[in-house]
Amino acid sequence: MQRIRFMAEEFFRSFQKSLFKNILLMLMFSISLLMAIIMCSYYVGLGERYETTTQKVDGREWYPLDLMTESGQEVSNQFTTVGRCRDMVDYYETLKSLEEAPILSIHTSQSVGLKEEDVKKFFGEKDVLPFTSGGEVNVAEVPFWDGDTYLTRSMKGAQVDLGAYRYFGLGTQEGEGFTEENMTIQRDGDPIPLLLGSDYKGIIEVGAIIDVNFEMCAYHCKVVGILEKGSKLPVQGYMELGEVQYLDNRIIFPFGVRLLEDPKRAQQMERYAWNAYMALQSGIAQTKVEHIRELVETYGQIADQFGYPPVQIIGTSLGLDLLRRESAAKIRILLILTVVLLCFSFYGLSVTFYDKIQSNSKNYGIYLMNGCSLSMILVPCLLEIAVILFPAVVIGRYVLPAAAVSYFRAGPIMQAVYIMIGAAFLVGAASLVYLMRGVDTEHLIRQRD
Amino acid sequence: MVELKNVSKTFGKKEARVEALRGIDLSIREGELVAIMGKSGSGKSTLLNILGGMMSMDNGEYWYDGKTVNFRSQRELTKFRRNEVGFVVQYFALADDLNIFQNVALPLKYQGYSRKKIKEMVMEALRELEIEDKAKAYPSELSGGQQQRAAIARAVVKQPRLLLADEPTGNLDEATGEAVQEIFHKLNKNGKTIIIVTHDAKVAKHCERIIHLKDGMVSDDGLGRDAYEEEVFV
Amino acid sequence: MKIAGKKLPKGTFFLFLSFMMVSLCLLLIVSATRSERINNLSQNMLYTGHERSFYIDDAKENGLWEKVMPELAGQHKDFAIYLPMRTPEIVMRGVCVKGRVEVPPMIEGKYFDFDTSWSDTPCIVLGKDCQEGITERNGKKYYTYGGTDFEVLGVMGTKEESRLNRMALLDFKSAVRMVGVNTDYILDAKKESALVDIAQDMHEFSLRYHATDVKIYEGEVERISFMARFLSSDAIMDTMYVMILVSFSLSTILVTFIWLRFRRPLFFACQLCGYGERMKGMETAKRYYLAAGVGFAAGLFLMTLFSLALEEIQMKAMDIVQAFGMTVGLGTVILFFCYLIDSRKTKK
Repeated sequence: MQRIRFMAEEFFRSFQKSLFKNILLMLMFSISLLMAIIMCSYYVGLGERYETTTQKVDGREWYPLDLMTESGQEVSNQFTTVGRCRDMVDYYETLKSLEEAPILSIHTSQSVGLKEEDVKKFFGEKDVLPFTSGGEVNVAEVPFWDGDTYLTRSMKGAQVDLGAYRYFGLGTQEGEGFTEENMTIQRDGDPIPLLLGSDYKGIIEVGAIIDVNFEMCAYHCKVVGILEKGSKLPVQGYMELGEVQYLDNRIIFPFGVRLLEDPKRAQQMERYAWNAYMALQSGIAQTKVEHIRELVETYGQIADQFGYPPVQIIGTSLGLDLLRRESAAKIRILLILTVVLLCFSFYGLSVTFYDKIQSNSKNYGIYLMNGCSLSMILVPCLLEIAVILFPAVVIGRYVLPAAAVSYFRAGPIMQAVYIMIGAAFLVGAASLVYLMRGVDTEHLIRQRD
Repeated sequence: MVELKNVSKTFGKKEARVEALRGIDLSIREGELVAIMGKSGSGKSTLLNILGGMMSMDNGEYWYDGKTVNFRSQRELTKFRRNEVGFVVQYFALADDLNIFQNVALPLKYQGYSRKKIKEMVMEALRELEIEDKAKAYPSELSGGQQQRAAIARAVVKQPRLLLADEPTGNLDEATGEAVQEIFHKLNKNGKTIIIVTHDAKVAKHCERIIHLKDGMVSDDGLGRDAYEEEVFV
Repeated sequence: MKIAGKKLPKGTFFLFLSFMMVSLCLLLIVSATRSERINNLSQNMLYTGHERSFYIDDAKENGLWEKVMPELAGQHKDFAIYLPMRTPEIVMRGVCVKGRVEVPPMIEGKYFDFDTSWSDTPCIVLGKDCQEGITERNGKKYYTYGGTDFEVLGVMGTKEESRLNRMALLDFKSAVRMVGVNTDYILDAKKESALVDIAQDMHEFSLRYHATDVKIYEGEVERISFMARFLSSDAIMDTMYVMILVSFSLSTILVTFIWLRFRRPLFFACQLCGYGERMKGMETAKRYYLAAGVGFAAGLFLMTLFSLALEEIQMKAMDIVQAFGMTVGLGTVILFFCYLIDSRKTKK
């Protein structure tokens, strides 16, 4: 009990004496730890994704993509000129063409707006309700292709790109499916291909020209085919659970329509830009875990090229998610700075304790001379080191989860925090023991400050 | 030259209060070599610090060359220390990161001397102390005796009239200590007033006057042994 | 430790290292901030990044803004309302700005203020690459668009390639005249927190004048936590630079304390030699600033290497001056603070 009391008193005395330095060290270590964790997370994929956010298709991991930005409107506000709209289209095409990371875009719960008069024309007396989403008829929010506003009915829809169409083995019982040829149009105004679910057979014919409203844009479309019965796509975000969306009563709109000639007006080009934007928001990309960082860096470079924010890969590690908008070079500089910072923190700790031992050497000599053991002197110092490192643990525990703007596993991050703190403590303790080695009691007492 | 009248100095408060000096009356003539002796805690170092203007006193007066030393004005005190006093301490107090030349030149900086003049004065001081070949060396490269010589050189380079030494041989072996003592004698013969605080009788006996302090007061003020023998036998 | 025969005083090496890192961080921050501002302006097309879009739908009367805008401008400041116009290549927008939101770098003339952006006289600010077609009359420059002669208030742009160079901004009334009231708008403000209030007032004022005919949709202002604000992907780099700078500054304070402690024999020697506090301070400052200066030079050298190796890092003379000033300021504060505390400790 006396020993514990002595050690506690010694700890408080020593801590209070260098309180200011200790506070400085606490702050330095806390910051160093945060930086180190983020860097580790970036380079080593620490705390990488929850399995549930990635999607397994055929046993392979697919990472959902997102082009939503923090403000949500950074991209959409740019579609005011033909040039910027074309940039978005080309941006999507470039990302889609990356060999090492194929993208599929699927959206299985869309609404396609048809004019009520067209619905009446096609369905006649047939029950239209199974084909509608919501069942109501509203005045269209945006004009149709001819520039007029009509009463509109929302029909069940889905959207898929050519890659996904092929990947999931969709086929037609009539007409053709999505192809390179029909997905490429010469000029705005040429019809965009539509596919219909098998239940539409007998209702809408292949070759029919339909004007639709889709995602607040008007499109002039042509039905190119009717899908086989039972065609399905995995419901977005739930692939692993095996949930699928059957397409029989749906209108399938394409992602990634290619327009060869730029129109004269931005409003005309805007719809293609929106299409590309939505494709990226609904995309999933396939890559190996060990290549994720390179993919993030590639996405960043391509984003810079087209002047749009980089596509976010959902489910990546904390560091990759936070630093996705920065160039690889800048992050490397940050890594260097972090390493130096860590060294400085350790230097600060070592020198502070070196200084402490030097200035207290006389006291220690007296303690030892009076029967105190070396451990009774070391333990308060070790405790002091632990207290200095403690705020770093707290910050790692509470600040990092606050930064979790995406999904990441907190467990490995916290383990890394504890390991780093443990390592720092061990280094500190080892240095301390080294400094206290071969303590010559008499020499200590005789030594002056 | 130096006169203390009823000087007192107290440290600490309440139970921890210590009267280091109690009503000291002292007079030292120019050119004297004085030793101040006493046990630990008798107030010798405190007295020396007051004489050197390093510490203020609580009561009393300090007269130097017929004028009072004003402890209230830091500016005047600094001027007094800079121009009139050279100080030597037991642990040499040399700056580790300056070489001997730079250490000795320290008092001459900011005094308006040219670099040439400073070099001249420093080398002269080093020559006097017989360590001119060590000018470029660093304190850690010198022996204790050499370091103390360097410290003395620094103290005398500005030609102060009063040289104060606090246990100058305390950290030296006997032979080196005697050599240092010889230096003080030589300086005293050149007209310097030297006051040495020591507990070593061997050092004190070579001084012409020994002042004994006990419990903060002057208990004895008499001739040093050599001076005594000189007076008696010559 | 000796360098060129001269002994390096204890603690000086780490002081030099500290200042090297502090200078490097300051140079990185200053140049990144400068280039990021221009980059962001260009990337965001003059928006702040927290702008919100809204639309007016079914307003029967064209004079709606004539009633709403003066009231809005009377109640709020530092906001702008943009009217994006759909144009083939040049980004063209109507703007009404009150106070100061984002101001582009101007090559010539001046940018809009409230009087010029809400005026009956058609005015325009053109991007650097859109000056073809400017004519001069009576000492003023004019640009014709959509059959209207706009007085050219100024030309904006950057030396480097940026989207600002291919933008044109019209006064608000002219844009409304061309496009009509029922269209999309963008509301922007200097402070994100002000957006909700401005949008709310705009909605109320509009309702006051056209009770059932106007629908204004307010974009959601997402509430994000305090930590997430600094740790979002937009802000993380700046946050990390600042954290590193703070950390190195703290380390400099620690190193300075240690450095001062190693200087104690020198201080004692100075005291013995009769130095006053002023001279002692000068000696200390001289040595400190020398280490700091060499550290800054080393940091500058490193930064030069980085900027040669990496395109994204561009350093200008002004950045060096700013960083130098900040390093000197920081060093002075740290020295003063540490010296004061150390002196008190030694006096005790």
